[in-house]
Amino acid sequence: MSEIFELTAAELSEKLEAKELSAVEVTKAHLERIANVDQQVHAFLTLNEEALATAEAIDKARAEGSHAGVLAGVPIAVKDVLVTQGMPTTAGSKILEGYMSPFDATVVEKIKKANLVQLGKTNMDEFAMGATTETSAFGNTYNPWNLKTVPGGSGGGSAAALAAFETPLALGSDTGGSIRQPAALTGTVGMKPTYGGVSRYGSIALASSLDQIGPAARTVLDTALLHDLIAGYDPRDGVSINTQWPSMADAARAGSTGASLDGLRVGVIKQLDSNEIQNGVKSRFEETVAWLTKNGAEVIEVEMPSIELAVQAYYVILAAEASSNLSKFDSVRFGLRVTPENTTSFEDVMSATRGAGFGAEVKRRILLGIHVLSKGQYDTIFTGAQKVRTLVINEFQKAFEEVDIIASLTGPETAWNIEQSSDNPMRNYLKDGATIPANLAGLPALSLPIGLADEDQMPVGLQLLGAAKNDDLLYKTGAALEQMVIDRDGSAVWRRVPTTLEETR
Amino acid sequence: MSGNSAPYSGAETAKLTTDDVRRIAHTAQIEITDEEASSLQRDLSAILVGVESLTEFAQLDVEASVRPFALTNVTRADKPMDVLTRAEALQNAPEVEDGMFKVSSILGGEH
Repeated sequence: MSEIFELTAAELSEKLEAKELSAVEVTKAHLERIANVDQQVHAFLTLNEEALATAEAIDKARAEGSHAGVLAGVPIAVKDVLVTQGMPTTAGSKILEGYMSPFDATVVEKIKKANLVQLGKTNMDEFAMGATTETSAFGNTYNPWNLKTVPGGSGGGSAAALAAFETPLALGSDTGGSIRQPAALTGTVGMKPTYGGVSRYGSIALASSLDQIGPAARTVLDTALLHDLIAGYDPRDGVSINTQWPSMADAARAGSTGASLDGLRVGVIKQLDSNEIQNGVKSRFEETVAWLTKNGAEVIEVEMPSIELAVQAYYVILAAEASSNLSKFDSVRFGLRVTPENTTSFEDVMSATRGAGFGAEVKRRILLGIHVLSKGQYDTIFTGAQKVRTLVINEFQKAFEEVDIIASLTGPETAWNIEQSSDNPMRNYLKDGATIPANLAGLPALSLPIGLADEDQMPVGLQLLGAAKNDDLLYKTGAALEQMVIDRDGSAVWRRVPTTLEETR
Repeated sequence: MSGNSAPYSGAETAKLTTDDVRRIAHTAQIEITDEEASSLQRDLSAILVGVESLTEFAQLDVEASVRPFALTNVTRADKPMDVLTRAEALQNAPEVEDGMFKVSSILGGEH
């Protein structure tokens, strides 16, 4: 029998429903696991002191016969970009240290209503700007597969917590890959829903035309179960889609129980193939594509010439929107205030506060944003970026006339060593070439592990991209591929994480 | 940070001077040190060289997208909903006086 903390959310749900386990037992097991391993992993910034009390209340309600909900009593970790009552929210920044939100984000409200147990808040790159969690003002998070490597970012805390069995479920935000890329680097699953599919109310905004809240877990089904719970219309998010979503969990179950892939048209983007891809990563991808063909799918090469410019367009658009969104940190309503000596001017206080409170990457992107929106630059760089965005959107539209789904690698390499990112920021940004296009076009995209790279035995992530609102097809296909990996390797990728965490304690 | 790739000493063409960077930082209301001004000058120049090809698309005859796809604005009836109380709105403020946010003088001069 597995340890409690090794069980999936779906398994925990069954055992809780059958009263084989109590919410208190499940919560304790995860809190103990956190106590044992989080000194090494540093996935959490804050733990929820109310976790056990919440679990007790859920057990009591269940004993009294009230219907508690499918995931009632199942623990969850929340990325620190989402505001929570009762726990501080920092978004990984010194400027928000100690901030206590007077309200809950909509997705947090939903998980509370559904009786999930919040374990705590997870580490992230400052204001979600980064791909390694190294820009967090509160220290690095370490990849449980190899503590010398990064867990990806910006949601490295949530992904590492999943991989280290500190939680079975996590919430993240994805502006250019911040849910999917950490999932890929840690052998876990992460989903960026269709833009507007899950409410962003109460998420500290980075770039509003790109940001999307989404679920993460170790399995495709668990990710789908959480997706079902958080999806839906929210009048408090100005871009929320008012539609009836199909059950993602049903789609995942259909995929894992042998739903046919016959006739599924899978696109492979020609322009994403490159010599820069790590050998072992490329081999896993080629095997996966071969397996799809063998199992009845039709693999079609699609041309997306503008995708090579997507990274450039993305960083310009993101910086512009971030420079506006982050102007709210002005030393007045919340957060840090630094008052320089001998000053009486409000502007000096604001500048000193923002100078002391923001880290290097945040300053870099705010300044870039201000610059590209300035006279002379707006009509050239910024407008150019917006038009490239249109080209990317149009190319996806055309591609989805020919294919049902697009498969790519989530990233070109496995997790790299901490402090080994390039000194040239543009070179680092280029690694996000496969994840960024989905945000520009608002498309759903799922990352799931497809094995380990031969040369370093580190996890490799596959990305499945769908047309807008086709989130369920990604879960169905993803679950089929997950089952393929289990059949091929004898176990799921996440079960093969080295068990050295306690030993190094 | 030590890079694992070729040594990097800034873009070949400096797109911005350190004075440009100081001016932009002033607009952004972010105080920067001299050291930061020079590293930002290097980094922003590299990024601007990296995104230079976008300018070729500025004149292209397509719409400039401000969002991923057409969306209908979410609206609601114009009636009061649950809002923050004054205490909640002020609970995170660095300085409060008489139930209001307190700031230094906006126009300079006396506090």
